[in-house]
Amino acid sequence: MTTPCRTVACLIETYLDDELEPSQLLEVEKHTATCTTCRERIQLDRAIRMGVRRTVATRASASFRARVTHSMTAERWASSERAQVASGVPTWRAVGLAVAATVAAVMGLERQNVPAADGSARPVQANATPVGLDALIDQFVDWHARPLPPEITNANDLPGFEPYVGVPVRPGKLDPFGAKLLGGRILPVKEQNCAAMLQYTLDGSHRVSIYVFDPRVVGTRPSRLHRKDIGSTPVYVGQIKGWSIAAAERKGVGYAIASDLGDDASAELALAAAPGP
Amino acid sequence: MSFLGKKRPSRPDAFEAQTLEHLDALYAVSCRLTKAPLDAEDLVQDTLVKAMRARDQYEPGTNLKAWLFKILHNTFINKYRRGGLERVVLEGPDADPLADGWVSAASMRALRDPETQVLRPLVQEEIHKALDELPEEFRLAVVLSDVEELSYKEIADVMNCPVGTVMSRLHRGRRLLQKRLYDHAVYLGIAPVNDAPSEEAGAVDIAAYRARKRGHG
Repeated sequence: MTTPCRTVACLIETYLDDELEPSQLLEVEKHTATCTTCRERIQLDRAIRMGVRRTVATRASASFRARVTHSMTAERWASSERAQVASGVPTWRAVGLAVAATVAAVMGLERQNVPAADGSARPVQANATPVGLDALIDQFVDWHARPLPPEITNANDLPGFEPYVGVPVRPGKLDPFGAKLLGGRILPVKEQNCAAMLQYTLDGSHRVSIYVFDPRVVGTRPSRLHRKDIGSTPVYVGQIKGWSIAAAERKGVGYAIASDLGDDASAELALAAAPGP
Repeated sequence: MSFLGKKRPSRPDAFEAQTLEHLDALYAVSCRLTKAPLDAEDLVQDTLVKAMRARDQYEPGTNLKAWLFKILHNTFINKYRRGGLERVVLEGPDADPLADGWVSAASMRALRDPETQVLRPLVQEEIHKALDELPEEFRLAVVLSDVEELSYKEIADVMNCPVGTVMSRLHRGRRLLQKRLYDHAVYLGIAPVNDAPSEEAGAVDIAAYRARKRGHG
């Protein structure tokens, strides 16, 4: 007696999933050897699966792949660092080591001329070629537009970022602007170099992201921003994707601001992040 | 490079290299889960950082891709899923019985291009919408099975549920897809109206399907 179509139809899904018991498998194959309709059912099921496969197949973009590789590299270092902490090797406070290529904000550095307390700031590799501030600014804008939660929320923990950024990362004196520090993250910029991001709110309503980076890695002259001298200090300002951006270099440290403020306010914040002598 | 006198691991190892081989798959599944490319990127990135941290828990020789999907799914549930869980849809009684793989020959021919035997292009477009409209857990099960070709057991592990639940989600997800495609084909006038899968006289409900499964198992 042959198996009825309805019974076989119930098994087709599992058959195509390659999960049938051997006895059921035989049943299906025996039936479909002679039943055109059930063979067509199988073909339709296969066609839909192929359709799903074609619909879902997506390739990660090259830039995303690069970002992921960066964050995995950063995590590798962080793991290594945690292992050293666990094994009792003295080191700086292991804060914010979980570096995803995500938002980071670094805000004002009132003490940016103070060398890293433990002298652990990582030197830039001699052969590092700048990744380009223009490209980095696009990243800054994206990270500002879609911020992730901070890795640290205490300003005292900021120096823990310094070994990754390579320059001092300290809280700025932004009280006059009504700025409140929400927290900070680090994010990969190029190879072993990271930027720090400090997230602030201004008057409780404006989000401001301040990035601190090593200008030797990325350069300081963004081509899409225009120069605006505040006193004798050049600041580069402009609008990108609707956000106000300002970048400046002070005492060998690069700063960038992303906010919804105007050019003038951003430029002032950039200088407040990097106070003059 | 020296770092506090300690050598820093500067090169990706085999685990990282193998993990990155699955980036496209993780991203594709993440896109279907989050339905937004930028959220999908964040989800994958979080997943891979977590995988790096949990790498000691990975058992060599087991399916690395399935292990990564498990982390992705957990991360999605914890951080990205907005709104409440879809428990009513997922675990509640079946709202309406679906045709149990029972489609007439005429319907099947209507959905496929007679020349190439692949789905008609217009139906193909509809798959995208239909997938996105599936309840999340159905969608994930279908994608993990049909696209990533994970076994029932591996999917059960990824979704942290019994194998029977995976089978039910797959079955219901696929039937919903099929019904949606069929309705679309009727709408386009390439399939007859009176032959919709959900209206089959002999439609079998999921409970009966499960009972049969148990009987066979």
